[in-house]
Amino acid sequence: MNRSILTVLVVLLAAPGLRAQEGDTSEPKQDKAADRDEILAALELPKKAQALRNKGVEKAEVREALRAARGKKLKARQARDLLEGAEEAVDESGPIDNFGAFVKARLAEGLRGRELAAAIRAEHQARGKGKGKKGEPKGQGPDKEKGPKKAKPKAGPAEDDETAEVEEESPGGRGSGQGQGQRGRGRSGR
Amino acid sequence: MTRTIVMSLVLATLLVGFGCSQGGGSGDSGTAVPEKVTQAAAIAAEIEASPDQAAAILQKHGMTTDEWTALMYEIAENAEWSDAFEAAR
Repeated sequence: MNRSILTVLVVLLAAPGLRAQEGDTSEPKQDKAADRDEILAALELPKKAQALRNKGVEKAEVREALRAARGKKLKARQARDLLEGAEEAVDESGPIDNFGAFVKARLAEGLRGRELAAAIRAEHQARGKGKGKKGEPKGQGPDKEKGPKKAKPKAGPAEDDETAEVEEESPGGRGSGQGQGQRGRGRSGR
Repeated sequence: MTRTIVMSLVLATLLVGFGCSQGGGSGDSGTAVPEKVTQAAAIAAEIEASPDQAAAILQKHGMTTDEWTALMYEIAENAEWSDAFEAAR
């Protein structure tokens, strides 16, 4: 009887310790995976930035956007997603003036990830230089017809809602006001 | 006398114009690609060959993940460095 009680006590006392050990081993694994993903994402940044420049976004604009991202301590994954989102937006609607300033402002507002990508896409749709120019030779119609064609699996209905919200805000609000202010600066610098 | 003044003015204008065109660019042109870019490309190649060992590879080269991320940001910001990085990988 005493032995049984002792055995039960030993098991009860040992169990939490065992559980803790299991936790200790799984957490570093997660950390390692996150670390690896971050390292690999960082490795892609030069290529993504170059792709954006090759598609007509000014060097200075790309630099400003990246500096803003770094300044806001964006993880490499987030910065990579930002550049990818911008590249898709450029493909759809052409580059915009003051891309860097726009990204900087949105980051300052706290936009990240999907929200930021949606804002970038909306801004490009609103004032992309290639609207109705770049798309036509390829047999593509106006942007409205394209719709969320480029939407990746991550872009669900919720993102569409976000895009709509931003589109409503940009024309009269922060987007246009700021853009015009910096447009003059950009031209004089070139 | 007048001709000398005119010639001086033309020369000065040309010199100022040349100076502006050299210094007023995006900041990328004309800068040599530093050694750290080629070193980073070599590390990147190692990482790509063994992605699961990424952290260990960085450690071997005396870098943390944050330092690596900062370096990649820095390279990405510069068009010439990005070209050199991609070419050297």
